[in-house]
Amino acid sequence: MSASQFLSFLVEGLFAVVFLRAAFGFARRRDPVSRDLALAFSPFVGLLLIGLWRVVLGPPPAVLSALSGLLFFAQPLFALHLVSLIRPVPRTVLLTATLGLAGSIIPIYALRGGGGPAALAPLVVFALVQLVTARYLAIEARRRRGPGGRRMWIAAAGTVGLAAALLTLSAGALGPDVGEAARAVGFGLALLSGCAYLVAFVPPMVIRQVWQASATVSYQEELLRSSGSSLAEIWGRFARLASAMTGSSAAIIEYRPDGPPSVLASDGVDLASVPSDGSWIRAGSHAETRVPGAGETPILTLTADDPIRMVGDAAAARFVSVVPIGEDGWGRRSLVVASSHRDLFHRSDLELLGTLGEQTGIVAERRAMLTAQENMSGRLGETVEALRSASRAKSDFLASMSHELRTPLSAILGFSDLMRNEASTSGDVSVPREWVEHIHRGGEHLLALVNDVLDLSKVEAGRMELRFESIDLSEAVREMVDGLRPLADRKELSIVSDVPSIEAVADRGRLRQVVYNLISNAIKFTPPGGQVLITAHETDTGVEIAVEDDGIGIAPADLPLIFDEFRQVGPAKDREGGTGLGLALARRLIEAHDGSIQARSVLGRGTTFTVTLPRRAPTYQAASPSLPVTVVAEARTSGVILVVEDDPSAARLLREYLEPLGHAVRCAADGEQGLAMAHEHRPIAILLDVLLPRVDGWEVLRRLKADAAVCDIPVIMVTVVDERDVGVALGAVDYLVKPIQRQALVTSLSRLGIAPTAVGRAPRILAVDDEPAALDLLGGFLAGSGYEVVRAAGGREALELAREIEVDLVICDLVMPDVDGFGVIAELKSDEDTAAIPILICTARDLSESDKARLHGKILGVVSKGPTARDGLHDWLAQVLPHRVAAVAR
Amino acid sequence: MTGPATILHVEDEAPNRALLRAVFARCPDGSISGATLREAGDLAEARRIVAAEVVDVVLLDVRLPDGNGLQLARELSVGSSPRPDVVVMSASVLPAERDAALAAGAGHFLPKPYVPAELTRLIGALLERRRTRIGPVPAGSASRP
Repeated sequence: MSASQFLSFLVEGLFAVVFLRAAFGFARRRDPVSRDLALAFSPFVGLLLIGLWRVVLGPPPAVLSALSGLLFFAQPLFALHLVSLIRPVPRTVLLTATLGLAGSIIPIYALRGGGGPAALAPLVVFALVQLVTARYLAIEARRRRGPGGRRMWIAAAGTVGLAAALLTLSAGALGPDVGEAARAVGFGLALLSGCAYLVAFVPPMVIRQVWQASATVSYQEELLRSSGSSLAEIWGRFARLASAMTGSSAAIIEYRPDGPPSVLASDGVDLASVPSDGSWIRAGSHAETRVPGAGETPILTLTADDPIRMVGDAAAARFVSVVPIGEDGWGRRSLVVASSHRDLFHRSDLELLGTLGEQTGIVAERRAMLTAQENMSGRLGETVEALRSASRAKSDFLASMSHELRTPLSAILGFSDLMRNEASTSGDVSVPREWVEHIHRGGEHLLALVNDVLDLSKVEAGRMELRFESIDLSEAVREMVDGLRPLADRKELSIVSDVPSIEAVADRGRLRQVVYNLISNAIKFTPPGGQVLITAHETDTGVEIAVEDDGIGIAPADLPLIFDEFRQVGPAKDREGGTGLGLALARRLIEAHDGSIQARSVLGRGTTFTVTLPRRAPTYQAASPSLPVTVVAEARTSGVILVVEDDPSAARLLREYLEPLGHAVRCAADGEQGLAMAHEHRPIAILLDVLLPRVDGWEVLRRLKADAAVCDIPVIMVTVVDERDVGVALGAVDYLVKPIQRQALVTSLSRLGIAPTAVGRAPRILAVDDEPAALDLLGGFLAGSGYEVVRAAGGREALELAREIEVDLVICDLVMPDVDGFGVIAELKSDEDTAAIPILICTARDLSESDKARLHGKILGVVSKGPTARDGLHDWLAQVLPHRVAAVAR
Repeated sequence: MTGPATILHVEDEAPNRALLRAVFARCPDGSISGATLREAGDLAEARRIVAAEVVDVVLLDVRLPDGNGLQLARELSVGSSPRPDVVVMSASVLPAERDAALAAGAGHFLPKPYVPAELTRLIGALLERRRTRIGPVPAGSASRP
């Protein structure tokens, strides 16, 4: 074997290694890049085999030699085609190269061997095409970063080297004098070219590691330098690296938690064009999903028929690769690269990117943690500042509060001190009336302050319990105006109320408090002879109530302050008597209604306060009695009562209760019969059992209410289960739970204005109060009205009496020394004999919501002690014991 | 000082003015019950009176409709002699408010509500000192926080 033969074997062997590597790749993955790479290096394998044949078996057959030669001259075309896979190569270039090579080879084959300069032509064309290929590789290599780019540079160099080697070798054929040197140089170049190809396509582990290490180090340096940048910047840098390393037209860093996926960063694609549903890639028939690493689950399952969407459209991509780049506790991150062409070294590049992506993830998570910490410390700072300002506000409030409390106390303590020191004659002191007035007014002022502060603190603490009920504004305002008219008359002001009968839903007491405050303010700040005008109207969203005066007005600078606590503005003489909390409280109260309060004013011309309340559904039914009774104006003292009840014994019991009261009772054994009898007898009331055969009580109730002929007959539902709300919703007026107590039935009927027509004795009222004076007062109210009033001086005595004698009504105080009102009620209700006795509470105490909850359902109602007690009591008696109403002296 | 003293009460609340009148009228100390009591409901009126008359003691409220009483205290403390003694009487009784009153040039701070006897004792001492020009009245002797 000659030296040149050995050298060509060596060179061809190097190429063969690349071929084998590519061929294995193709066998495994069937990808066009491996295929073209194998094809591009196959001619050298052909040459190697022919050469070996020649050495071992002698001259090879001419056909094989010819074929091998033909294959060899096709090599540049294979190489060019390979390049056309990884970047755009104009068709004309491919065509020209093919024609050029074919045109240069045909004469040789046609001339059969030949020699001389004509044989050089294909070699020159060969080399030219190789140079074109090398140029394309170089252009592509320049776009890239990282190992891929380097390998492409080396491949381009190898291609140039091959072209140069061929040209040098063919130059050797020009003459023997240059032959030896040319051969030596040519083989040297060819050897270098082979080595370059080997390094480019089958890089030894060491070189590969060095490349990866250098790429990693340079990227890490970049990352570390950017440690102060935002998350988006960090991922943006990685996206740019990914497209630069892979030569892709677009890269997306996506994040898929349990929730909707999101894009962390992108390069080469406009984020705005990325759909929010996570479908930023959809493979089409031309797409390949490439997920490196055996056994890796593809992040995205791409369906083959869809066209590539979004990334594809935006980046004109045909090939999409997805690489997992780690995960945090909530979801997985992946790198999606899209390109219009295949890639030479995508596997190793993507593997490297996977590693770098995970490192980026670590940096990003650290950044996110730092950001979270910064945010948290920022929020902490804000919270501390808010707490400080709240604490300042509280101190300011307390200082003002102390001042406001001390001011009326000055008068109270000062004048009472003077009174204490006045000379007394036999224990009696004579003092100027003015002093007593000052003390009294100071006390009143203090009380108003304490009340306002309590209300304010309730609203502040969110403990203001509002009961939204439907209020007729015209009526409510008229009441307030009546109450304030004496004040206005004293100042010779006219109060004009122009409020139509419209509905507002609000807490009655609180709305009254606010509007009362506004009207009395208006009176206070309007000089004699002026006018206060109250108007109201409905708006799209609710109601507006306006209180307008033509008084002194408020200066524009003061206007924003008037709703602050303790901000009384205007001349001192006009401020007397106010607590400085009224408007602050009014605003809070109206805000608690989700409404608003506004003030407009022209100094010297007047002020208008406007309260706006939103429309809403009442949450509270107007008080007494607790069911929406369709109270009939005239008492019905006789008539048929229809009992719909399938159980004969239950029906008999009801009959026994009702007939002694003078009612005619008709019984129906089922719903159908009940409906028929309702039409036939037109009863004054229907007692309707819920559990009935075939048609149940609810259905009967529904049909009764849907039938115009009988829908006005009050229906009392009777059942074993308390489903009061259902019954009321369907139109029942009351609800009795079995077993029915006689007294409960009587009470229920009397609420409907249906009174017993024959009672053997006068109704007996048990009045319970520890104060004899209160009992005297009650006795006075009820005197001469035909009731028998039994007095009990305490809870215990009341309970004993209730057990001993038959009582029709208990009127009970709440606060008593031995057994209090709550105790009396509980005892009465727990005893079967007394459970049905209706109870009225008569108390001086303002009931809290929890008191009301305790009493709910156990009592008829509450009468406040004081000036309204008499009327309140009569109203209740009229409902409970209506037959005696006429006799009650009013 | 000869003749009855003049005491100026600057106070916007009418009941408080009435109280002081009654306290003075019933004071056993003749120099107080015999003193001329002038009243002002706001700063402007107080300034007018101070400018026109010789005032021995100013009883000064702090929160006044046309400004802060301490402003008047400051003006009086730099005014021409004989300067009146200033007693600040306020329902704002936090230490900071008391300190502000003394810093403004008031000689004494009397928190409201005040005990009438303490007020008359203080004023008696102030008037006595003005008569005899001996020693200061111990500061705070009539003050309680």
